Formats: sequence, structure tokens, C-alpha cells
Amino acid sequence: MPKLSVWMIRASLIYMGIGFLFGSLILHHKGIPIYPWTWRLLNPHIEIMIFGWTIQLVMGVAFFILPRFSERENRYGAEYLGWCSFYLINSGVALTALADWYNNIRFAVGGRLFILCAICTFVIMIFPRVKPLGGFAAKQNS
Amino acid sequence: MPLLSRYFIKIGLAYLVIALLMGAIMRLQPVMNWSSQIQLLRPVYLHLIFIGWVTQIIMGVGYWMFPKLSREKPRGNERIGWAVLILLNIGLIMRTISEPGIFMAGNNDVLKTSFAWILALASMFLLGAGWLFIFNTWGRIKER
Repeated sequence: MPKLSVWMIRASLIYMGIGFLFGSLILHHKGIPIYPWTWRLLNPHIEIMIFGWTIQLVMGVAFFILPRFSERENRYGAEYLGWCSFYLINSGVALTALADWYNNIRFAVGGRLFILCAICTFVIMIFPRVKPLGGFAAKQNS
Repeated sequence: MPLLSRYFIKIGLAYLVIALLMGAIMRLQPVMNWSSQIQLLRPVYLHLIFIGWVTQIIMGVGYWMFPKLSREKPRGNERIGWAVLILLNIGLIMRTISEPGIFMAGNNDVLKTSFAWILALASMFLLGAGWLFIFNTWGRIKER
């Protein structure tokens, strides 16, 4: 598994752990109230579960399993774009979640823009890899 | 495909069907003049899709296809894997019953309190499932 996928999938697992914790607190609060501030975790919970966990996991796995370039030095494509995407999505999710918690709309919009940039960067990087298998894998399949 | 993955994926598919059925019922409610209490199913519906379907499918496919941990334990601790499946599904079922149940119990305090405790317990089951999955998967996410 390439290094970028390792980082993306592990980051997504961390977000999953946090998202489950927030969700669990909210659910518990619905039944047996814990703290009055628990409901403020709802928006961060949604943000973390959708973008931090699911989408980032899909990005990490896609970078790992989509067909690679056989005759190029960099088999995974423009990997630096993938790293940009990794930093952008993680800072974006963290920023949006914190902004939701503090009810700061400006930072929430900023965080969402980070996420948008992350997705665009990732799409630019991964687009050429959505192609038929080449080289050894193609010979094996034929 | 390992047995555990098959369970995860098949149960995930069942949740998808149930959730979509729930979604259809919620859409039909105003048209058919059914009780507006049906709309209480919304959070359950969303979680059946996101936890019951999406997360469970990821868990099943991840358990099957992520890189092997070692020759002795290729998929990590299998018992933990089963514990995740059981906790996640019991938690989700408890939630599905008790979350709308609290509101539908009306003035029946005994029933309301019972549902409240079931919901609190479900939250712990779901948290346990999520964290155990992370614990069991973490070591498999590695470079070759």
C-alpha cells in the first residue's frame, strides 16, 4: 500500500473514532442526558463522518487500487497533488468541525473551501488513472 | 471471502433494503395521511444507511481486502472482528427500536425510561464496535 494511502486511511480511521464518539455522546444524551452542550456536537459529527471518515477512506483506497502507470517513473501519477489533497481535506474537516462547535460561520465556510480544494486536487490527480489496465496486468487478464 | 466479511456485507445489504423501505414510508406519510409520528424515523433511517449499510460494507470489505497483518494472523484478531459485527448490529437494532420508542411512549414513564436506557446502552455498543474495528484494522494499514 503506498504511503499516501496509509496516511489517508489511518487519518480516516482517526476521524471515524472521533465521529463515533461524538455520535455516541449525542445518542446517549437523547436517552439519558449527559451534558447540555452535547447537542452542539451534531454538526461536527456529521462533518467528520461524511468527509473525514467516508470520503477520505474512499480517496485513500482509490489511490491504492486504481490502475497505475506502467511506463512512468511515478506509477501513481502526480503524487504531490495527492499529498496536497490529504493536507487540505484534513485541515478542512478539522476547521469546519471546530467552526461548527464555536458557531463561527466564516471559519466553517473556509473549512468547506479547503475540502472543495482537496476534492478538486484529488480529482485532477486521479482522473488519468481511471483507465484500462496496462502492462503485465492487462496481459494476465487477456 | 471470509465468513465474517460475508456476514458484514449481507447484513449491510439487508439494512439498505430496510432503510430504503423506511424512506419510502416517510415520503408516503403526508400523501397517504398517515400519522406524522412516522417522521420520527428520520434519524434511524439516516443511520441505517450510514452505519448499517455504508460503514458495515466498508468493515466487511476492509476485513477481507486490506493488506494482511501477518502470516499467523492475516486479518488481525478474528474474535474482535466478530465482536465488532455483534456490537454494531445489536447497537443499531436497539437504536432503531428505542429512538422512536422514547417519543411514542407518550406518558408511560416506565416505557419511556426503559427506552432511554436501551438507547444509552446502544450508544455504548456502537462506540465499542467502532473503536474495536479501528483497533483491529490499524495494524493492517501499512506500506509493503
